[in-house]
Amino acid sequence: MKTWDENWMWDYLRDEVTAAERDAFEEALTHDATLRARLKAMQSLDESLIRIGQPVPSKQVSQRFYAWLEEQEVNEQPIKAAKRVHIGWKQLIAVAASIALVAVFAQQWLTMRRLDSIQNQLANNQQQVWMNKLKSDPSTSQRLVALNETAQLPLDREVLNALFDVAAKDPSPNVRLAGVDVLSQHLDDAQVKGFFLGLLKRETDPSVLIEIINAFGIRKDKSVIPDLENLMAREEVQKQIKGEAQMSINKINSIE
Amino acid sequence: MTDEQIMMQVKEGGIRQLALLFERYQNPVYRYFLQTVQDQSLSEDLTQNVFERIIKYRNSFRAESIFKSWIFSIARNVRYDHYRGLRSTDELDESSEEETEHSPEDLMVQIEDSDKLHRALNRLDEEYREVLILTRFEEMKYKDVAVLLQCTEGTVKSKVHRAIQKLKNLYLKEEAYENLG
Repeated sequence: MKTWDENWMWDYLRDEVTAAERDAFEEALTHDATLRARLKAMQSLDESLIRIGQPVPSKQVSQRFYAWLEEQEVNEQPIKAAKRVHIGWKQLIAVAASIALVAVFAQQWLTMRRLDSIQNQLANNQQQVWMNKLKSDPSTSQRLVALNETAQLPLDREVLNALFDVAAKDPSPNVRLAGVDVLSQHLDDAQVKGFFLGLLKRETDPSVLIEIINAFGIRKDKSVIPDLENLMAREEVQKQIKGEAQMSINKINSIE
Repeated sequence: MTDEQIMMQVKEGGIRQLALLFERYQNPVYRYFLQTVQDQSLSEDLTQNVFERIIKYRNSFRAESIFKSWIFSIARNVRYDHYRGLRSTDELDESSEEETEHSPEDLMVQIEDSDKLHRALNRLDEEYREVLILTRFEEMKYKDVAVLLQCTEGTVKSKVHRAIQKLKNLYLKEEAYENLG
């Protein structure tokens, strides 16, 4: 009978064994309690290692990198431009000084335009990075970081859709809650209000629901009272949530 | 888009695409430095250095290269160059005293204290710590680490095994110190 030492088990945890070896080991695990205990010990080491190995750099690293990247782009452009000017100079050596002066001004103007374009592209690039992270990063904390960064972006349609997605679909209630919190600052927007009313019917997490209800209460918008009343009428809704809805209705009515 | 496709764009002049690779790799590269040099500020400086070298040496990236191995080979060079400026290579390669090896049975230990494990990891010789970081934290396959370290897959495998045994010995020592204290 084959014996599996701890080195072998480590390779098994790293998926560095053959399929046949893995099958044989897993078969043995089903009827060997000692083997299971030894594997568990290796797993405890494996999991503890990953727990201590997740530090992240400070924000300064990112700031420094993007400042450097921008510098690089600016530096590369004049080199290319210089090459073009050099060719032009060879061909047009006899051109009058006044034309050269115009060319210099034009060059400066183009460089400024190029700088603007690079800065815009960098900003767009960064926006895409955050929104991709928000959508697909497997780590909840990283999605929260991405949400925080996305919330700082100008609220265009793309950003708004990304925020709607996260508030409605993120698997973590904490991230959905943070998404609702960000959106509640834009509750004057008809699209956001409509989205919140839809979410009021679909969301099941109490903390997210309470956040939406409170946002309506703060806005004091009477038109949402029927929706809050509908929520209160639903049997499956918890008492605490119904209480919050009633408080928001009272708050809205208190303006009169 | 894969890392390799993005890197090819960077190589062809799309320098701003480096931002995507930075977002994907700043944490793994930083972790690699933090675990090997064990200094937060220095690790941040070296991380920046890696991305600067990517631009400097972008023409050496080949279409068939694996980006992850390539960037970690740059990180290794950055680390060596940093040490080279501080001390001799002999000193860098110097290994600490060999740990007394226990048999595998002796070492069946349930890890319950992450702090002790962290201290044990920090006391591990650099060459062993490095293979654990690459294979466990960065989840690189033995064959890719072999390319990076320019050795055989078998060498990586046995280094990983020795690293695990030494780590467990050091963990047990940490526990023993605590019991004595």
